[in-house]
Amino acid sequence: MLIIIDQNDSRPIYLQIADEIRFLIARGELPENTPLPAVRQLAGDLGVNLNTVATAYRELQNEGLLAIKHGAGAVVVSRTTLEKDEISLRKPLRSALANMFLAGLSWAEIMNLVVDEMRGLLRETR
Amino acid sequence: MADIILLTIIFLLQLLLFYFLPTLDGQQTLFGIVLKNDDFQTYGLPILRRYRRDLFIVAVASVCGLLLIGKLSPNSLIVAYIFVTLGIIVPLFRYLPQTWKLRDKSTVSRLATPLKPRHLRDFTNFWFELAVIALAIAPLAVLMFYYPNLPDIVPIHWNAAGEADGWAKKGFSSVFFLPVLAAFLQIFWIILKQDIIKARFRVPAEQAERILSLKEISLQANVEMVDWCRLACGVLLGTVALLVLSTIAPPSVAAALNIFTWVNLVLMLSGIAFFLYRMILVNREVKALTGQITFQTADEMEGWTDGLFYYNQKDAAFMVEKPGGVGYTINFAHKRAFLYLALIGLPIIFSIFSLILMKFQ
Repeated sequence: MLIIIDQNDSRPIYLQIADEIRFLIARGELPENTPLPAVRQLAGDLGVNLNTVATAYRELQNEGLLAIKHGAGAVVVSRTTLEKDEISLRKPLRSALANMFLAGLSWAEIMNLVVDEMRGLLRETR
Repeated sequence: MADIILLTIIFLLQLLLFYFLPTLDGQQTLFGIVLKNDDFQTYGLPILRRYRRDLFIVAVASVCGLLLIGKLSPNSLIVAYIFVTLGIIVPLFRYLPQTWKLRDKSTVSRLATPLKPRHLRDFTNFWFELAVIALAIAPLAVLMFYYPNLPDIVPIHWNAAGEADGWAKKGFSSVFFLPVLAAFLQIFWIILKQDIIKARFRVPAEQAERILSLKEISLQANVEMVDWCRLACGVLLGTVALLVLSTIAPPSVAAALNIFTWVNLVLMLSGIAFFLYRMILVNREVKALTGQITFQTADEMEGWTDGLFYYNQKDAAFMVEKPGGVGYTINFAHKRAFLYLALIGLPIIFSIFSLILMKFQ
Protein backbone atom coordinates (compact mmCIF):
# COMPACT_ATOMS: atom_id res chain seq x y z
CA MET A 1 0.00 0.00 0.00
CA LEU A 2 2.84 2.29 -0.84
CA ILE A 3 2.46 5.58 -2.62
CA ILE A 4 5.48 6.69 -4.66
CA ILE A 5 6.31 10.28 -5.57
CA ASP A 6 9.01 11.35 -7.99
CA GLN A 7 10.25 14.90 -7.62
CA ASN A 8 12.03 14.71 -10.95
CA ASP A 9 8.86 13.78 -12.80
CA SER A 10 7.36 16.50 -14.99
CA ARG A 11 3.88 15.88 -13.59
CA PRO A 12 2.97 18.08 -10.61
CA ILE A 13 3.12 16.30 -7.26
CA TYR A 14 -0.59 16.63 -6.49
CA LEU A 15 -1.33 14.84 -9.75
CA GLN A 16 1.14 12.07 -8.89
CA ILE A 17 -0.52 11.61 -5.49
CA ALA A 18 -3.99 11.54 -7.03
CA ASP A 19 -2.89 9.09 -9.74
CA GLU A 20 -1.24 6.81 -7.19
CA ILE A 21 -4.35 6.74 -5.00
CA ARG A 22 -6.59 6.12 -8.01
CA PHE A 23 -4.35 3.23 -9.02
CA LEU A 24 -4.47 1.69 -5.55
CA ILE A 25 -8.26 2.04 -5.44
CA ALA A 26 -8.55 0.45 -8.89
CA ARG A 27 -6.34 -2.45 -7.82
CA GLY A 28 -8.52 -3.05 -4.81
CA GLU A 29 -5.77 -2.28 -2.32
CA LEU A 30 -7.95 0.52 -0.96
CA PRO A 31 -11.42 -0.96 -0.61
CA GLU A 32 -14.41 1.11 0.42
CA ASN A 33 -14.33 2.58 3.94
CA THR A 34 -10.53 2.45 4.08
CA PRO A 35 -9.27 5.51 5.94
CA LEU A 36 -6.51 7.53 4.34
CA PRO A 37 -3.91 9.41 6.37
CA ALA A 38 -4.50 12.99 7.41
CA VAL A 39 -3.24 15.67 5.04
CA ARG A 40 -0.61 16.66 7.58
CA GLN A 41 0.70 13.11 7.95
CA LEU A 42 0.97 12.46 4.21
CA ALA A 43 2.50 15.86 3.51
CA GLY A 44 5.11 15.35 6.22
CA ASP A 45 5.89 11.82 5.07
CA LEU A 46 6.37 12.82 1.44
CA GLY A 47 8.06 16.13 2.15
CA VAL A 48 5.54 18.20 0.23
CA ASN A 49 3.37 21.18 0.97
CA LEU A 50 0.10 20.68 2.88
CA ASN A 51 -1.82 22.28 0.02
CA THR A 52 -0.40 19.78 -2.45
CA VAL A 53 -1.91 16.85 -0.58
CA ALA A 54 -5.12 18.78 0.11
CA THR A 55 -5.51 19.48 -3.61
CA ALA A 56 -5.03 15.81 -4.45
CA TYR A 57 -7.61 14.74 -1.89
CA ARG A 58 -10.04 17.42 -3.09
CA GLU A 59 -9.71 16.34 -6.70
CA LEU A 60 -10.45 12.74 -5.75
CA GLN A 61 -13.41 13.87 -3.67
CA ASN A 62 -14.78 15.76 -6.70
CA GLU A 63 -14.51 12.55 -8.70
CA GLY A 64 -16.57 10.77 -6.08
CA LEU A 65 -13.82 8.41 -4.86
CA LEU A 66 -13.01 9.99 -1.49
CA ALA A 67 -14.83 11.77 1.27
CA ILE A 68 -12.63 14.24 3.12
CA LYS A 69 -13.05 14.12 6.88
CA HIS A 70 -12.37 17.57 8.20
CA GLY A 71 -8.99 17.51 9.93
CA ALA A 72 -8.79 13.73 9.98
CA GLY A 73 -7.79 12.69 6.50
CA ALA A 74 -10.16 11.07 4.08
CA VAL A 75 -12.05 7.89 3.50
CA VAL A 76 -12.52 5.86 0.33
CA VAL A 77 -16.23 5.92 -0.41
CA SER A 78 -16.52 4.41 -3.83
CA ARG A 79 -14.52 2.59 -6.44
CA THR A 80 -16.51 4.20 -9.21
CA THR A 81 -15.99 7.75 -10.36
CA LEU A 82 -18.97 10.02 -10.88
CA GLU A 83 -18.24 11.06 -14.43
CA LYS A 84 -17.65 8.49 -17.10
CA ASP A 85 -17.04 10.74 -20.09
CA GLU A 86 -15.56 8.57 -22.84
CA ILE A 87 -13.73 11.43 -24.50
CA SER A 88 -11.82 12.37 -21.33
CA LEU A 89 -11.02 8.68 -20.74
CA ARG A 90 -9.64 8.27 -24.25
CA LYS A 91 -7.32 11.29 -24.10
CA PRO A 92 -4.63 9.92 -21.72
CA LEU A 93 -4.81 6.54 -23.49
CA ARG A 94 -4.29 8.18 -26.88
CA SER A 95 -1.38 10.15 -25.50
CA ALA A 96 0.25 7.08 -23.94
CA LEU A 97 -0.14 5.04 -27.11
CA ALA A 98 1.34 7.83 -29.21
CA ASN A 99 4.34 8.04 -26.83
CA MET A 100 4.96 4.32 -27.05
CA PHE A 101 4.73 4.39 -30.83
CA LEU A 102 7.14 7.32 -31.00
CA ALA A 103 9.51 5.45 -28.69
CA GLY A 104 9.78 2.85 -31.41
CA LEU A 105 7.66 0.06 -29.99
CA SER A 106 5.94 -2.23 -32.43
CA TRP A 107 2.17 -2.74 -32.18
CA ALA A 108 2.74 -6.20 -30.74
CA GLU A 109 5.02 -4.78 -28.06
CA ILE A 110 2.50 -2.10 -27.29
CA MET A 111 -0.27 -4.69 -26.96
CA ASN A 112 1.95 -6.71 -24.62
CA LEU A 113 2.54 -3.66 -22.45
CA VAL A 114 -1.16 -2.87 -22.36
CA VAL A 115 -2.12 -6.42 -21.42
CA ASP A 116 0.64 -6.53 -18.81
CA GLU A 117 -0.54 -3.29 -17.21
CA MET A 118 -4.12 -4.55 -17.23
CA ARG A 119 -3.02 -7.72 -15.50
CA GLY A 120 -1.17 -5.65 -12.92
CA LEU A 121 -4.29 -3.65 -12.25
CA LEU A 122 -6.69 -6.56 -12.13
CA ARG A 123 -4.47 -8.88 -10.14
CA GLU A 124 -6.03 -8.07 -6.82
CA THR A 125 -9.45 -6.96 -7.92
CA ARG A 126 -12.56 -9.09 -8.02
CA MET B 1 33.10 4.97 49.78
CA ALA B 2 30.56 2.61 48.21
CA ASP B 3 28.80 5.44 46.44
CA ILE B 4 32.04 6.70 44.86
CA ILE B 5 32.85 3.23 43.54
CA LEU B 6 29.31 2.76 42.21
CA LEU B 7 29.34 6.11 40.46
CA THR B 8 32.80 5.44 39.00
CA ILE B 9 31.57 2.14 37.56
CA ILE B 10 28.52 3.78 35.98
CA PHE B 11 30.79 6.54 34.69
CA LEU B 12 33.19 4.07 33.07
CA LEU B 13 30.26 2.31 31.38
CA GLN B 14 29.07 5.63 29.99
CA LEU B 15 32.59 6.33 28.79
CA LEU B 16 32.70 2.97 27.02
CA LEU B 17 29.41 3.72 25.32
CA PHE B 18 30.56 7.12 24.12
CA TYR B 19 33.87 5.65 22.96
CA PHE B 20 32.10 3.33 20.52
CA LEU B 21 29.22 5.69 19.75
CA PRO B 22 30.65 7.22 16.56
CA THR B 23 31.00 3.93 14.70
CA LEU B 24 27.85 2.14 15.83
CA ASP B 25 25.88 2.72 12.64
CA GLY B 26 28.25 0.70 10.49
CA GLN B 27 30.79 1.19 7.75
CA GLN B 28 31.53 4.64 6.42
CA THR B 29 29.45 6.30 9.12
CA LEU B 30 30.62 8.64 11.82
CA PHE B 31 28.15 9.66 14.54
CA GLY B 32 25.51 8.02 12.37
CA ILE B 33 26.25 10.39 9.50
CA VAL B 34 27.06 8.68 6.22
CA LEU B 35 30.34 9.92 4.74
CA LYS B 36 31.60 9.69 1.21
CA ASN B 37 33.93 6.73 0.78
CA ASP B 38 37.28 8.48 0.53
CA ASP B 39 36.41 11.13 3.07
CA PHE B 40 36.05 8.60 5.87
CA GLN B 41 39.67 7.49 5.56
CA THR B 42 41.11 10.93 4.95
CA TYR B 43 39.04 13.16 7.22
CA GLY B 44 36.74 10.93 9.24
CA LEU B 45 39.39 8.89 11.03
CA PRO B 46 41.29 11.98 12.27
CA ILE B 47 38.03 13.35 13.67
CA LEU B 48 37.37 10.02 15.37
CA ARG B 49 40.85 10.05 16.90
CA ARG B 50 40.45 13.64 18.13
CA TYR B 51 37.04 12.81 19.58
CA ARG B 52 38.42 9.84 21.50
CA ARG B 53 41.37 11.90 22.69
CA ASP B 54 38.95 14.50 24.06
CA LEU B 55 36.96 11.74 25.76
CA PHE B 56 40.12 10.50 27.43
CA ILE B 57 40.86 13.98 28.79
CA VAL B 58 37.29 14.29 30.10
CA ALA B 59 37.57 10.84 31.69
CA VAL B 60 40.80 11.57 33.54
CA ALA B 61 39.56 14.96 34.73
CA SER B 62 36.23 13.47 35.82
CA VAL B 63 37.69 10.60 37.82
CA CYS B 64 40.06 12.98 39.61
CA GLY B 65 37.19 15.39 40.25
CA LEU B 66 34.88 12.67 41.55
CA LEU B 67 37.52 11.27 43.90
CA LEU B 68 38.31 14.75 45.19
CA ILE B 69 34.66 15.66 45.78
CA GLY B 70 34.01 12.24 47.26
CA LYS B 71 36.60 13.01 49.91
CA LEU B 72 35.89 16.71 50.49
CA SER B 73 32.15 17.07 50.02
CA PRO B 74 30.30 13.75 49.67
CA ASN B 75 26.92 15.48 49.61
CA SER B 76 27.72 17.16 46.30
CA LEU B 77 28.66 13.89 44.66
CA ILE B 78 25.44 13.48 42.67
CA VAL B 79 25.61 17.06 41.42
CA ALA B 80 29.26 16.55 40.46
CA TYR B 81 28.22 13.42 38.63
CA ILE B 82 25.69 15.32 36.56
CA PHE B 83 28.46 17.70 35.47
CA VAL B 84 30.63 14.73 34.57
CA THR B 85 27.88 13.27 32.40
CA LEU B 86 27.50 16.60 30.63
CA GLY B 87 31.26 16.63 30.14
CA ILE B 88 31.14 13.32 28.31
CA ILE B 89 28.59 14.72 25.87
CA VAL B 90 30.65 17.84 25.03
CA PRO B 91 33.02 16.13 22.55
CA LEU B 92 29.96 14.87 20.67
CA PHE B 93 28.67 18.42 20.23
CA ARG B 94 32.10 19.50 19.16
CA TYR B 95 32.83 16.90 16.49
CA LEU B 96 29.39 16.11 15.10
CA PRO B 97 29.12 19.46 13.23
CA GLN B 98 32.62 18.89 11.80
CA THR B 99 31.50 15.47 10.60
CA TRP B 100 28.32 16.94 9.16
CA LYS B 101 30.39 19.02 6.75
CA LEU B 102 31.81 15.79 5.31
CA ARG B 103 28.48 14.09 4.81
CA ASP B 104 27.41 12.27 1.71
CA LYS B 105 25.04 14.83 0.27
CA SER B 106 22.99 12.49 -1.89
CA THR B 107 19.29 13.07 -1.61
CA VAL B 108 16.40 11.02 -2.85
CA SER B 109 13.89 12.22 -5.41
CA ARG B 110 11.70 9.09 -5.52
CA LEU B 111 10.06 8.57 -2.16
CA ALA B 112 7.46 6.15 -0.90
CA THR B 113 5.27 6.00 2.16
CA PRO B 114 2.47 3.66 3.23
CA LEU B 115 -0.99 5.14 2.84
CA LYS B 116 -1.96 4.04 6.32
CA PRO B 117 -2.95 6.51 9.04
CA ARG B 118 -0.79 6.21 12.15
CA HIS B 119 -2.69 6.67 15.38
CA LEU B 120 -1.65 6.63 19.03
CA ARG B 121 -4.37 4.06 19.70
CA ASP B 122 -2.64 1.52 17.41
CA PHE B 123 0.34 1.59 19.73
CA THR B 124 -1.64 1.59 22.96
CA ASN B 125 -2.23 -1.45 25.14
CA PHE B 126 -5.14 -1.18 27.55
CA TRP B 127 -3.59 -3.28 30.34
CA PHE B 128 -0.30 -1.44 30.12
CA GLU B 129 -2.03 1.92 30.45
CA LEU B 130 -4.00 0.56 33.40
CA ALA B 131 -0.75 -0.58 35.04
CA VAL B 132 0.87 2.83 34.55
CA ILE B 133 -2.16 4.62 36.01
CA ALA B 134 -2.25 2.22 38.96
CA LEU B 135 1.47 2.82 39.57
CA ALA B 136 0.83 6.54 39.57
CA ILE B 137 -2.15 6.39 41.94
CA ALA B 138 -0.76 3.82 44.40
CA PRO B 139 2.01 5.98 45.95
CA LEU B 140 -0.37 8.94 46.04
CA ALA B 141 -2.97 6.88 47.92
CA VAL B 142 -0.39 5.51 50.37
CA LEU B 143 1.01 9.01 51.04
CA MET B 144 -2.46 10.45 51.60
CA PHE B 145 -3.31 7.60 53.97
CA TYR B 146 -0.19 8.00 56.09
CA TYR B 147 0.00 11.79 55.88
CA PRO B 148 -1.50 12.37 59.37
CA ASN B 149 1.03 9.96 60.88
CA LEU B 150 4.03 11.82 59.50
CA PRO B 151 6.16 13.87 61.91
CA ASP B 152 6.42 17.66 61.49
CA ILE B 153 9.80 17.33 59.84
CA VAL B 154 10.11 14.92 56.90
CA PRO B 155 13.20 13.77 54.99
CA ILE B 156 13.33 15.03 51.41
CA HIS B 157 16.86 14.20 50.33
CA TRP B 158 19.02 11.13 50.61
CA ASN B 159 22.65 10.50 49.78
CA ALA B 160 23.73 7.64 47.55
CA ALA B 161 23.98 5.29 50.55
CA GLY B 162 20.31 5.84 51.35
CA GLU B 163 20.78 7.96 54.47
CA ALA B 164 18.57 11.02 54.82
CA ASP B 165 20.56 14.25 54.70
CA GLY B 166 17.94 16.90 53.96
CA TRP B 167 14.71 17.71 55.74
CA ALA B 168 11.75 20.04 55.34
CA LYS B 169 8.57 20.87 57.20
CA LYS B 170 5.68 18.58 56.44
CA GLY B 171 3.43 20.15 53.83
CA PHE B 172 1.96 19.66 50.36
CA SER B 173 5.23 20.57 48.59
CA SER B 174 7.50 18.35 50.63
CA VAL B 175 5.29 15.26 50.64
CA PHE B 176 3.51 15.36 47.29
CA PHE B 177 6.16 17.01 45.11
CA LEU B 178 7.29 13.78 43.46
CA PRO B 179 3.85 12.32 42.63
CA VAL B 180 2.86 15.60 40.99
CA LEU B 181 6.15 15.68 39.05
CA ALA B 182 5.52 12.06 38.02
CA ALA B 183 2.11 13.04 36.65
CA PHE B 184 3.71 15.88 34.65
CA LEU B 185 6.27 13.47 33.26
CA GLN B 186 3.63 10.97 32.17
CA ILE B 187 1.87 13.68 30.20
CA PHE B 188 5.20 14.60 28.60
CA TRP B 189 5.96 10.98 27.67
CA ILE B 190 2.53 10.48 26.13
CA ILE B 191 2.81 13.63 24.03
CA LEU B 192 6.29 12.49 22.95
CA LYS B 193 4.94 9.04 22.10
CA GLN B 194 2.18 10.55 19.96
CA ASP B 195 4.68 12.76 18.12
CA ILE B 196 7.04 9.87 17.45
CA ILE B 197 4.17 7.88 15.97
CA LYS B 198 3.21 10.83 13.76
CA ALA B 199 6.84 11.58 12.85
CA ARG B 200 7.90 11.62 9.22
CA PHE B 201 7.89 8.06 7.97
CA ARG B 202 9.21 7.32 4.52
CA VAL B 203 11.36 4.98 2.48
CA PRO B 204 13.10 5.30 -0.88
CA ALA B 205 11.14 3.98 -3.88
CA GLU B 206 13.91 1.43 -4.54
CA GLN B 207 13.69 -1.62 -2.23
CA ALA B 208 10.68 0.11 -0.66
CA GLU B 209 9.06 -2.99 0.85
CA ARG B 210 12.27 -4.21 2.43
CA ILE B 211 13.24 -0.85 3.92
CA LEU B 212 9.64 -0.35 5.04
CA SER B 213 9.64 -3.44 7.25
CA LEU B 214 12.97 -2.37 8.75
CA LYS B 215 11.78 1.15 9.49
CA GLU B 216 8.62 -0.26 11.05
CA ILE B 217 10.75 -2.33 13.42
CA SER B 218 12.71 0.80 14.33
CA LEU B 219 9.56 2.82 14.97
CA GLN B 220 8.12 0.05 17.09
CA ALA B 221 11.32 -0.14 19.14
CA ASN B 222 11.33 3.62 19.61
CA VAL B 223 7.73 3.65 20.83
CA GLU B 224 8.36 0.68 23.11
CA MET B 225 11.35 2.54 24.54
CA VAL B 226 9.11 5.48 25.44
CA ASP B 227 6.61 3.14 27.10
CA TRP B 228 9.46 1.46 28.98
CA CYS B 229 10.57 4.86 30.26
CA ARG B 230 7.01 5.65 31.31
CA LEU B 231 6.82 2.46 33.34
CA ALA B 232 10.30 2.77 34.83
CA CYS B 233 9.89 6.46 35.66
CA GLY B 234 6.53 5.81 37.24
CA VAL B 235 7.94 3.08 39.47
CA LEU B 236 11.11 5.03 40.22
CA LEU B 237 9.38 8.26 41.21
CA GLY B 238 6.71 6.34 43.10
CA THR B 239 9.34 4.51 45.13
CA VAL B 240 11.32 7.62 45.90
CA ALA B 241 8.08 9.44 46.79
CA LEU B 242 7.38 6.75 49.37
CA LEU B 243 10.82 7.28 50.93
CA VAL B 244 9.35 10.27 52.72
CA LEU B 245 7.64 7.70 54.92
CA SER B 246 10.97 6.13 55.88
CA THR B 247 10.95 7.85 59.28
CA ILE B 248 7.72 6.17 60.32
CA ALA B 249 8.28 2.89 58.49
CA PRO B 250 10.27 -0.05 59.84
CA PRO B 251 13.97 0.14 58.78
CA SER B 252 13.66 -2.93 56.55
CA VAL B 253 11.02 -1.19 54.42
CA ALA B 254 13.20 1.90 54.04
CA ALA B 255 16.20 -0.23 53.11
CA ALA B 256 14.15 -2.25 50.64
CA LEU B 257 12.86 0.92 48.97
CA ASN B 258 16.41 2.20 48.69
CA ILE B 259 17.72 -0.97 47.04
CA PHE B 260 14.63 -1.11 44.83
CA THR B 261 15.34 2.41 43.59
CA TRP B 262 18.84 1.45 42.41
CA VAL B 263 17.59 -1.78 40.81
CA ASN B 264 14.88 0.17 39.04
CA LEU B 265 17.41 2.68 37.73
CA VAL B 266 19.60 -0.10 36.35
CA LEU B 267 16.58 -1.79 34.75
CA MET B 268 15.47 1.46 33.16
CA LEU B 269 18.89 2.14 31.65
CA SER B 270 19.22 -1.47 30.47
CA GLY B 271 15.86 -1.32 28.77
CA ILE B 272 16.75 1.91 27.01
CA ALA B 273 20.04 0.35 25.89
CA PHE B 274 18.20 -2.69 24.55
CA PHE B 275 15.76 -0.64 22.46
CA LEU B 276 18.52 1.65 21.19
CA TYR B 277 20.48 -1.45 20.20
CA ARG B 278 17.53 -2.65 18.11
CA MET B 279 17.24 0.72 16.42
CA ILE B 280 20.97 0.77 15.69
CA LEU B 281 20.79 -2.70 14.14
CA VAL B 282 18.04 -1.45 11.82
CA ASN B 283 20.20 1.54 10.89
CA ARG B 284 23.11 -0.74 10.06
CA GLU B 285 20.98 -2.89 7.81
CA VAL B 286 19.39 0.07 6.03
CA LYS B 287 22.88 1.47 5.49
CA ALA B 288 24.06 -1.87 4.07
CA LEU B 289 21.08 -2.10 1.72
CA THR B 290 20.93 1.45 0.41
CA GLY B 291 24.10 3.28 1.41
CA GLN B 292 22.03 5.73 3.45
CA ILE B 293 20.27 5.65 6.80
CA THR B 294 17.74 8.44 6.43
CA PHE B 295 16.25 9.66 3.17
CA GLN B 296 16.00 13.39 2.76
CA THR B 297 14.97 15.62 -0.09
CA ALA B 298 17.16 18.53 -1.16
CA ASP B 299 14.78 21.02 0.52
CA GLU B 300 14.92 19.13 3.80
CA MET B 301 18.73 18.91 3.78
CA GLU B 302 18.87 22.70 3.87
CA GLY B 303 17.08 22.73 7.22
CA TRP B 304 19.95 21.02 9.03
CA THR B 305 22.40 23.66 10.22
CA ASP B 306 25.02 21.29 11.64
CA GLY B 307 23.43 17.88 11.66
CA LEU B 308 21.97 18.46 15.12
CA PHE B 309 19.43 21.22 14.76
CA TYR B 310 16.55 21.14 12.26
CA TYR B 311 14.77 24.35 11.28
CA ASN B 312 12.62 24.27 8.17
CA GLN B 313 9.54 26.44 7.80
CA LYS B 314 8.50 24.71 4.58
CA ASP B 315 8.32 21.31 6.24
CA ALA B 316 4.87 20.08 7.32
CA ALA B 317 6.37 17.44 9.59
CA PHE B 318 7.06 18.21 13.25
CA MET B 319 9.23 15.27 14.24
CA VAL B 320 11.88 14.05 11.80
CA GLU B 321 14.57 11.41 11.74
CA LYS B 322 18.01 12.55 12.75
CA PRO B 323 20.48 12.24 9.87
CA GLY B 324 23.19 11.56 12.42
CA GLY B 325 22.56 9.08 15.14
CA VAL B 326 19.44 7.28 16.15
CA GLY B 327 15.89 8.41 16.68
CA TYR B 328 14.09 11.67 16.07
CA THR B 329 14.41 15.37 16.67
CA ILE B 330 11.96 18.23 16.30
CA ASN B 331 11.52 20.81 13.58
CA PHE B 332 12.08 23.99 15.54
CA ALA B 333 10.29 26.04 12.90
CA HIS B 334 7.05 24.17 13.61
CA LYS B 335 4.48 25.75 15.91
CA ARG B 336 4.41 22.64 18.07
CA ALA B 337 7.95 23.39 19.21
CA PHE B 338 6.44 25.89 21.64
CA LEU B 339 4.50 23.08 23.30
CA TYR B 340 7.76 21.31 24.05
CA LEU B 341 9.21 24.52 25.40
CA ALA B 342 6.32 24.60 27.85
CA LEU B 343 6.55 20.88 28.61
CA ILE B 344 10.20 21.20 29.56
CA GLY B 345 9.89 24.61 31.15
CA LEU B 346 6.86 23.90 33.34
CA PRO B 347 8.32 21.00 35.36
CA ILE B 348 11.50 23.01 35.88
CA ILE B 349 9.55 26.04 37.08
CA PHE B 350 7.34 23.79 39.22
CA SER B 351 10.39 22.08 40.76
CA ILE B 352 12.12 25.35 41.57
CA PHE B 353 8.87 26.75 42.96
CA SER B 354 8.32 23.66 45.14
CA LEU B 355 11.90 23.64 46.39
CA ILE B 356 11.54 27.29 47.39
CA LEU B 357 8.25 26.54 49.16
CA MET B 358 9.86 23.63 50.98
CA LYS B 359 12.66 25.83 52.26
CA PHE B 360 10.42 28.63 53.47
CA GLN B 361 7.37 26.79 54.75
